[in-house]
Amino acid sequence: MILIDANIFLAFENKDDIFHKNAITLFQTIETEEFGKYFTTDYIFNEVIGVINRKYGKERAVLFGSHILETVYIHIIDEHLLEEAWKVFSTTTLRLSLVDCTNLVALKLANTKYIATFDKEFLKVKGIIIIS
Amino acid sequence: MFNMGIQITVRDVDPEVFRNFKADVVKSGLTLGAALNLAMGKFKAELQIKNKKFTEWESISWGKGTENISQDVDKILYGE
Repeated sequence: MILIDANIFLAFENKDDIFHKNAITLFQTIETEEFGKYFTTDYIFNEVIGVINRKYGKERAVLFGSHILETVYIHIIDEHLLEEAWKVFSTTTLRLSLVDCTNLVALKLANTKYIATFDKEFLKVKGIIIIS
Repeated sequence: MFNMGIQITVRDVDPEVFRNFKADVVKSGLTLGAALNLAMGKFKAELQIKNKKFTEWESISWGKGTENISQDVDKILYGE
């Protein structure tokens, strides 16, 4: 399985984004299931919608959000995962947000090392494989 | 109708995940079997195959000054 981070969705949606072409190629590869099934989390979904809502507008945020809901499996970060993510967030010396830490525990739960992201901070995390 | 259920043995279960699961089950008042039935149902529902492809989405131009938005998620949302 492969986890898709917020920056991948945003770069895909915006033709002017510096990583737009990378995001298109990346998603086409992901859809071949070379890395297995793909998924995201409700925390990431929230970030994507928050950014589009703030930077482009609610109408587009709703359209894009609906498309994600129709096409991508969204894993819900429950109480247990949040507790695990909080432990990582509380102790890490890396510049990871709480959402980034939920990504790490979601990877562990899905028993996969693959994360699709353009966030270079993840390169410092041991035991995961960045696909970008 | 009464359903007897079956007994199973499961290998490769993470002991910590199982301990937490069992503690949650006890708190909820369910039996382990009933909770496992619920979990399996949820797992199946979550893995339902989506009929549409994500890449069918028609991207648009957001305009000048939006080139780095995918890199600025934390800054936009959390002011970092």
